[in-house]
Amino acid sequence: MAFIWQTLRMFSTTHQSMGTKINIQKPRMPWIERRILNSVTEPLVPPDLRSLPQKCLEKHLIKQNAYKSELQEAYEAFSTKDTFEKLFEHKIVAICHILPMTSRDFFQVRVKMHNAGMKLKFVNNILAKAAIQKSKLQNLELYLTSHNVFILCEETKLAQLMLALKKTPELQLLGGLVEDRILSRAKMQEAAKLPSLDVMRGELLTILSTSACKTSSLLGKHQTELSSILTQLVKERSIC
Amino acid sequence: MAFALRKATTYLVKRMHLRPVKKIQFTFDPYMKNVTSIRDVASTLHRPEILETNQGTILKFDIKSDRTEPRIDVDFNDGEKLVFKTRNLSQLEILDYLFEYVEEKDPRKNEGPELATKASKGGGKGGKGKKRK
Repeated sequence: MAFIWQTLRMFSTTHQSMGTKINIQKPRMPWIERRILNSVTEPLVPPDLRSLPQKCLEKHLIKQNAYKSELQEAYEAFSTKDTFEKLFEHKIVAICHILPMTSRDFFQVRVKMHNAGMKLKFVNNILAKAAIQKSKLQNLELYLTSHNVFILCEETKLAQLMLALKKTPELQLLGGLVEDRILSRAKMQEAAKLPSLDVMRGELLTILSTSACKTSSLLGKHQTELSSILTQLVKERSIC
Repeated sequence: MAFALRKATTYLVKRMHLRPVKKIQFTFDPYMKNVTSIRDVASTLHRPEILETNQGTILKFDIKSDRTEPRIDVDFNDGEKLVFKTRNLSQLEILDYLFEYVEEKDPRKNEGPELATKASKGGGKGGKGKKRK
């Protein structure tokens, strides 16, 4: 029986002695018959004649595709599109370049924006570009590089936005969407200086009515002058 | 390649300082195509650890909307000026050239490393250990 076990052990590569440590670093050379079997059954792989850049590219693509997932891509596309649809329901969407700051400073910036009635929103640039393709917001694509943050406001409060941004040098205004119009930084600053809509309507009415008033005053000028002179004359004669 | 670029950028950012720099002005039109590099450089130079190297450096943005080419104007303390036209430059190239100039003009170039003396290390411990009579 012992002889059988010893013989079996000579041909086995998996058999280990009980109670001894596993030999990993210096594996024993297999028996001659095992070695012959291994060399005969070794697969014959044809030589890879591709260039090194091609081999590296294949490795890189395999690694890249390993992280991809159809479900995740679909979810990302859906969530970004949904985010953008909600984003652009706001009246003002200002795109700012955000500079690096500590978390404490960032909290202060958020507080300032909140006090001004604004919200801060971060969106991934690559996903954002994919979301706005073939939509009315396609022209915003050029703003979506580097470090961005979106400032949102449900009302058209451009003056408050400019005031808040003046106090936060960490946010640099690049441009944005104001009531469905893409405006540059300079245009937004000009629009912020304009008075309110009611004041401007009043000014327009006065301008329109000015010409009519002037015409009527010119037409009646001679009559009014004559009547004033005659009243003056009557007063002088009555005194005399 | 991307890993190598990131590694090189991190190496430069760790060693970057603004000691000989008086003012840096970033001029660009954000609606133009090649402004990624200038915006990235502006973000990098605004890092707290780089700003701490010289509190007196002024970093200014001039954002235009008239299709001007992106450029960085650097004014040094010795009066020399350096202009980067960043339309066809990458972030790494700009930081590399800037680092070369900044290292050359560094006022602390010939100073040795700061030595921590025994007194500065053990001053607190000695003070606490002393018994008052």
